[in-house]
Amino acid sequence: MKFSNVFAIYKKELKRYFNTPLAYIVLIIFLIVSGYFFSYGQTGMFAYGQADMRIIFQIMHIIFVVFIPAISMGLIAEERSKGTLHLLVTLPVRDFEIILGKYLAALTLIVIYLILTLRYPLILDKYGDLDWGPTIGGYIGLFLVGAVYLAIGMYASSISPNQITAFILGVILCFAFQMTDQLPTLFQSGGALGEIGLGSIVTDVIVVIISAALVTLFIHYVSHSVSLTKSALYVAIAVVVVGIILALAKFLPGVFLYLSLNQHFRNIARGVIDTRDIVYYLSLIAAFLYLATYSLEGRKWK
Amino acid sequence: MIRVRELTKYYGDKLAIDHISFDVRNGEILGFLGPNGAGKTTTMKIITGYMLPTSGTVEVDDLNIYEHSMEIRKKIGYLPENNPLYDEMPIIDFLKFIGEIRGIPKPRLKERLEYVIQTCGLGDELGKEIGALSRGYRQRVGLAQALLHDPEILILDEPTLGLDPNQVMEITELIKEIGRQKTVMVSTHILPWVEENCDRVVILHRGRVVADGTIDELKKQYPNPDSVSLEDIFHDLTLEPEDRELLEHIHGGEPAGVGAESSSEQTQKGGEEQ
Repeated sequence: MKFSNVFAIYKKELKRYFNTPLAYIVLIIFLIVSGYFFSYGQTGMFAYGQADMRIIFQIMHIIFVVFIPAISMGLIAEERSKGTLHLLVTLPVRDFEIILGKYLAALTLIVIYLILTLRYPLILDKYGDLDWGPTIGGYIGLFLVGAVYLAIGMYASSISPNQITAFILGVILCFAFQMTDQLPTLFQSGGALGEIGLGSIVTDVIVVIISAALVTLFIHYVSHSVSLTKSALYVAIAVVVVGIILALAKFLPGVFLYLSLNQHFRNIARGVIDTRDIVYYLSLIAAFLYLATYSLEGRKWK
Repeated sequence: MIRVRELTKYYGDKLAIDHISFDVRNGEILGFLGPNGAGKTTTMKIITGYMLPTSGTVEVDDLNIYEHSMEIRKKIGYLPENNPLYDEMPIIDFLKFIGEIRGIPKPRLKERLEYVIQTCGLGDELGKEIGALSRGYRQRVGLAQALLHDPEILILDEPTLGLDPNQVMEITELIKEIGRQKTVMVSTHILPWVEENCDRVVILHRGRVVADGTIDELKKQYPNPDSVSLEDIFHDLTLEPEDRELLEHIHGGEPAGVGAESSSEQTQKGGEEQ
């Protein structure tokens, strides 16, 4: 891997963000939304009445599900729909360098957003006694969660023919990863990964990678379906997969709690930085960046 | 030197190119011809590393596409089909980006930028966004992009597509100029230009090579080589049977292709001499 290539892609992509209205529009809209929830309503600092960032972190986490796919939707899909992907992938640059450069550029935008929201804790600190430990932990958590959503959104962009599809697919996937912890409650509540003997980091990683790969490969196939019989086959597969997911949710709820970004985010937002959460985030990022590279390379064998 | 051997590509179960073999020799301009859908773009996409063949190989200066794709790309300047460019970028930013990706060192890049800007006549519009340019100008930016790293080989996929006659003339003159120092593989439908400027031609039809040689060599296979044009040869080799009948009808029962258009060809040449 050549870092000069990654850097060249990174710079180009960052310029694209700030030379077009997209970055400004997205940043402004989401600052308005998070600012609203910070100031007004039940979650607002006046009603909430505590110098505490926990609620606003949860809200920003939810906002990310829409915000990040909006940032990532164009990364690959736009180049594909405009044809410039053809030019880009025939330059002397590896597919993974393209993915990584674009990923880092979008991640920079997320960091800018997070920096712009720093005034919330600063305001709280001025008028109350803010505990900076959990606040810093929360920001690290938001950054990691954002990095995961971005990898997911990038993957959605890499398999989509255009930006709109990429956005919708990205939101669905991010939402699914955020909410999987709700699935087991359909059957029962509670349960932990330790109870089913999946306590160690190694097995955790394996479970995460296999699950992420299954879900995304499935979506990959669906979005490339060609004929009716094939589509019917995919629907059949989908039914079986959903069946398996539901069965798993019933009998192994711990898996779903583990896979949910919500669950891991709660830990970090409390200021507890656990290596298992970090491993979880990093393995998801790696898995989705790999899948995005793989789908970019797919053109070679079509 | 590009050596294409037994190259085959399937899209799903559709055969795009079928065991094609030919060479592009150092320093020559090769006209890569054929009707739309014959497999020209597919072949170029494989040479430039966009995709891999189903079977067969391509070697560029003894480097093969399977193991040395990156090295090959460095040797090649490529103008893809429809000349895709970043519309939101100003020309100069775009060229600088290409320079960076190509790993051209700063002082050298400055030199090269000056050269391509001058050669392709981009001086007046450098700060303009590519999306705001005319088609002819766009094409010049595409060529500048392909030339920037001073490649040994240029692969141009229909550089004249969608241009008006004046723009076609500008671009073809430019290619001719560039072709003096480089190996050029160009696909186009402007056959009179090919006849005048290309050292050799390869004609594809339905994924197979149906002609490979200098234009004189190809003409010699016909009974009256002097009155056969490249266009006649092209029709003769690639017209579908039903269209061939249409052509015979137009030319009052004369056999299509060879010799059929000799009279019109002569008047054309006469016109040029005046």
